Amino acid sequence: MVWSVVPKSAVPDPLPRALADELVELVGEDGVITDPSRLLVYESDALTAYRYPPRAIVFPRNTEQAAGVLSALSSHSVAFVPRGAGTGLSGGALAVDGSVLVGTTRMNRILELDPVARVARVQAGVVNADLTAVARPHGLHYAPDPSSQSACTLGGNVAENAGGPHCLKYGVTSRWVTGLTLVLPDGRVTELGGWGKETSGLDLVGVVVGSEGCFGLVTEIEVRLLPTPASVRTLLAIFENVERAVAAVTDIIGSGLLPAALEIIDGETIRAVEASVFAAGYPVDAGAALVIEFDGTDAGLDSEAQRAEDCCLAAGAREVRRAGDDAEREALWKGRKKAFGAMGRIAPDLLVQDATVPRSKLPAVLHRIIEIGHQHGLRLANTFHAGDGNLHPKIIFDRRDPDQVARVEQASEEIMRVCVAAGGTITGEHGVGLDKRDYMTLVCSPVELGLMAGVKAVFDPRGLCNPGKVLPPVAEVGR
Amino acid sequence: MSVVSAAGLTSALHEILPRERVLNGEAAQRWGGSKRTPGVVVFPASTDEAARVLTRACEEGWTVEPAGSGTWLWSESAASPPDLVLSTSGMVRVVEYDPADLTVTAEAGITLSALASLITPQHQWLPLDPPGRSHSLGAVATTGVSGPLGASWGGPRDLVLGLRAVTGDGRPFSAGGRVVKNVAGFDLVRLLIGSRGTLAFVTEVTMRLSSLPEVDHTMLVRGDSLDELADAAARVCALSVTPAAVELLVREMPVGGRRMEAVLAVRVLGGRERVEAETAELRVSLADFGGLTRLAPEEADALWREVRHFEDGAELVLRLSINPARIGELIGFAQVLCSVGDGQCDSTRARLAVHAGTGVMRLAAPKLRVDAGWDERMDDLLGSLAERDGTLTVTRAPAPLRARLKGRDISVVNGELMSGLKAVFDPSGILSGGHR
Repeated sequence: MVWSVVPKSAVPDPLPRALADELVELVGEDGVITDPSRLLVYESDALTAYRYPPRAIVFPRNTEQAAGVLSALSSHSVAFVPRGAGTGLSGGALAVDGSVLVGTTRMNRILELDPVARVARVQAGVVNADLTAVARPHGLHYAPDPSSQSACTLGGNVAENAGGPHCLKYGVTSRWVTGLTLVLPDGRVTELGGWGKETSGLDLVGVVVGSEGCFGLVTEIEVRLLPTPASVRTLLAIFENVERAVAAVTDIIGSGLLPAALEIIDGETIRAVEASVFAAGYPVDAGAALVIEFDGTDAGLDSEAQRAEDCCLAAGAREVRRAGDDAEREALWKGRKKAFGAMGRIAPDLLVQDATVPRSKLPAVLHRIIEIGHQHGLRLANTFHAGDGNLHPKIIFDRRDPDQVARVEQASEEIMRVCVAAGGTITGEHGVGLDKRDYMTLVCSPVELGLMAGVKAVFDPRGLCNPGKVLPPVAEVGR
Repeated sequence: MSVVSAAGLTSALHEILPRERVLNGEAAQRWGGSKRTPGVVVFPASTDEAARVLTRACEEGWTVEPAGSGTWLWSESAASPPDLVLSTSGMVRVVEYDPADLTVTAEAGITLSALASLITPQHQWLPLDPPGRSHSLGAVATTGVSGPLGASWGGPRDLVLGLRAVTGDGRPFSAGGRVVKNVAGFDLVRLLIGSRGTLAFVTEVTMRLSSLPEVDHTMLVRGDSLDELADAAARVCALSVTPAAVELLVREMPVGGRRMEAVLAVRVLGGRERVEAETAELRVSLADFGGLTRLAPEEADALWREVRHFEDGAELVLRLSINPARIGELIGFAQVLCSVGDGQCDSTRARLAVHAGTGVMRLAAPKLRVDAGWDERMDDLLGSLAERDGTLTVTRAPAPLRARLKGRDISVVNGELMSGLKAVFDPSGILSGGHR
């Protein structure tokens, strides 16, 4: 999607009276918003470049209400878009083409937590961090930890197959989701999967996770929980440049260590963080910082941390700090976790890229990304999940300058092309949504896009569920 | 029954493939079940060749059974033998292996052992131990089956990063990629994992690898009864240490007056210090079960080989699954199912391999000669499983039993979705006997 041609917010047509009444009957007066001024809040997600005010937003409280809502919308042939907390970074939860939003935020109950079986069943609107907070007294936690975990919902995590820093060791959302309740776009309800339920059929849970809300509305999620690691060791290594930090990461992985997280923050980001209220005490003259974390049984952690420290020093780290307690650990992480927020100080707008490359290609690709920034006269900052090869270059700009916006679009596409050419992909964890829809042709052939469209049509034959997302319009596929 | 003659098929295939890649007659017999022979067995050497075969098969309406080395073949599951078996055995090249990335891409016909000999010198391994011998990477991916290591590493669905495949109407496509995180588009990889050849013919697989653990220990717990061993397994699974595998292996069930022969094996791997600490914790926890005996490396190898080959030669293989916290109940069901009716039932010779960490129990019986009470006991078992949200799937069984048990775990709506998905990939329904 090209921003410069994104239409300005247009006020969509109001809902037909009969449908609005039906929705109110299903979820109550306070569960339906149709007032255009109140709907402005829902016109974008965390990628604020796109703005599409919805015709309405409906908040069901449970599967039954959700089924009623989708059935009513379907009978009026009105399209809908599932929406969690709106923290997505790909424009996936936007109500394009006169869609109605179906919000999950009132479906926020943890329905069951079985500490013996280590599974929980939650409604889709439960916030990621809230699940871990409830599981903690049982010595358990939910592993995927996207940076927005204090706000994002598990339903949104399922839609995007969300990752997070600790997914290096534990894997992304799809690894931990065992069952789903899915309301199909025509209002039928179906149960998929279940912990301990092998199926003789196809892995429907597997294909719905990561479907970006295009196959229906997930209302309940069953997830596996993991024992909280007995101990943690966190290190922060400071380097003169990003290349050395990447070399350290390569050595650490190559030596057979499996850290829980390996995160790189570049100098530009460090300076933004240190100048902000989130200042974490990183040296502002550093070229890069590497956060390394090991967790698990206490025995052996110290020697693993020592081996990682040795790798960093061998790669030219000028300093390696170790957290002595939880407060120090939090401080070491702060520079990484608050990187996104701190960028707000530097420029009004930020484009976060999400391409992923094979780890061995990181140095070359990073070098090219920096070059691309220079060529287009743009400021770039890099923070990334180095262990996974998942890059998050951030392009800093001001949308009021149309020339800059055009250069950002150009640079963004070039970065994706470089990553794909290196054997990578255009998105590792943020999803395609509206933002990267037109770049899907970089990674998928017309046959592949056709198969994906076919799969979507099985769940959503009338095209009423999150239209216009993930797949480019048919006419674009052959280009 | 197929209407196309093997001779006609063969000459048609010779038009698109070199002669040596098409087997028929006696040479094709090994690729059939005990009583059925496919018309022709075809060994494409590339994705393009496979696409040519499938395009033609789709046009002509030939039925096709995708296969690897033939060890998990259709085995009398379909009503009639396929017109042709399409095997990946001719596709065994390694496409790309960069140890620094901890990923490998290989053609689907490569065996797990061939792959191991490539990656072991780099101190890497593929933590998968599915049942069976000499199976190909493609078969592991498309059956999606995991073994004891599934408790800690997940199964193929967690380790396969990308695939290349051909649809039932001959369209080559890729899914996923070579990176460990990839959400560009819908997840066709997971759709194909476990699809058992019903959607497409997989020609290339990219796997995520791991570093070889420094230490790999297997310990045995012995018990006087299955209940006791199941309790011990449950206790291990409740600890905060997560062993790589917790396997209850029942070689002889205590039914029909026989003496139970069973062990509980716990495998712990990783760095030396960690393994030693976790082993110590296991010892303390299992003190009242008579403690742990550590196996010598060759004994451990033999044990895990036994688990892998557990299904070899069995006429009946069932996979039962349940919430792992209820694994003891599952063992109870198996005992009832295999209890003696008239004293003549060979199903009592059944053995069990229970992956305690994932709630999966495999039941294998060398011969299935059902006694009068079998049907009733099977119905009871299915009822008890359904009440507990468990499932039963058939790995291998005679056709009538298979037909009776097929798809029972699939709801009407999900069945419709699966049929719809099948039609997207295999519009004329020629793959895998038209199974979902």
